[in-house]
Amino acid sequence: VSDPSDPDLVRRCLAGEEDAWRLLTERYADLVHGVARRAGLDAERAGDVVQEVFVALVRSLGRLKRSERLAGWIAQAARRESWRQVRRRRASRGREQAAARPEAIREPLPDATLAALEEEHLVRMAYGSIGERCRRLLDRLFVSGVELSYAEIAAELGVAVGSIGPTRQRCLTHLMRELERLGLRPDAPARRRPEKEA
Amino acid sequence: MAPQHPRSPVADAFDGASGRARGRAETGVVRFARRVLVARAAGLAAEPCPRPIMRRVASLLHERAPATAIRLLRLLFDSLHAPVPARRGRRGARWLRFGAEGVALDVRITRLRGGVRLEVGLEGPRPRCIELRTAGRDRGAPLALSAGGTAVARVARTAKDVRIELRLVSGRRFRTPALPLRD
Repeated sequence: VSDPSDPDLVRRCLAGEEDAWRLLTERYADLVHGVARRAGLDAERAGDVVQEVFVALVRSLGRLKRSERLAGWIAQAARRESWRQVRRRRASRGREQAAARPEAIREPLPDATLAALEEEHLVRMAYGSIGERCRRLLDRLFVSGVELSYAEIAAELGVAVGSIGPTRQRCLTHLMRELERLGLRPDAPARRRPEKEA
Repeated sequence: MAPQHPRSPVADAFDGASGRARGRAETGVVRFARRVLVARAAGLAAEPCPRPIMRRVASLLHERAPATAIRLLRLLFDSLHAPVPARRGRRGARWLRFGAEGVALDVRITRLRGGVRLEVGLEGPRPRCIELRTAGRDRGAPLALSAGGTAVARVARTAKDVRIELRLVSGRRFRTPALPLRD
């Protein structure tokens, strides 16, 4: 069973389902935290960003026009809040002059970085939907950084060598289906700047 | 030698993008597979949001979400201020009644030598949970409701006040105002 889509999750949150809020937090906390950390904030301030973004989300959830663009909304909100925290940090370090002229300071995260983080989030979600066995196999095959033979992978995962090929095929099909469901397709352009409003 | 298995353009693309197979043409599918693998590797290398932060946020959302906002139970009766003298609680015992939206909660507060005894009676839909929240403590203590909707708890004499909070199966939450336990 697939995880609920963002629009479903938003509907459930608005209906007051406690589990939906927990799921929403688990789904997006890494994205927000990643944006804050990439913006150069320390762990404590990154935690503040996560908190502020989700509180803003609670206030805005009922007004989101396109809940399928929730990831974009959250990424933008995380960037804004991170930027605010960066300016606060600079101000507290005695750089009031710089903080008072924000136009003189570049935004902490360029559009391309934000788009890459959003894509990273969607890929994480897709991998999260294909099951532990598939995740481990695909990571060993394609992301481990070391080119392992099928025999080595089979031994590591405790499966027959002959099952690797068919399982890989099945897992990739599942992964591609999940990616497409999330709007990532080979014929779709790489993600650009997220929309201002979801 | 790798075992024989069915080939597919997608599997070939991931082989090519990851470097497991060399010399693959740079098709759109290969470029897409590379994007996916780059994002996956970055995601694995990224520092996840720490669990304490997630717990803090989940708790905040639960408190602030409009649909799960806590409704305050209104005070309907207080024996300490009852207009009829005969109904005023005797010294050391106080009876309070709260209500809102089909939920009624009776609380009898009795001072004992070693602490304060609370007797609770609930009318209305049976809650998913009912908790006693003592001032100065982060976590509430669950009250064990009998089949008849009553519960008894004892609170330390040092406690300044308590609140009773309950959550219905529907998700609606109610809370009494702070009930002072000292003079």
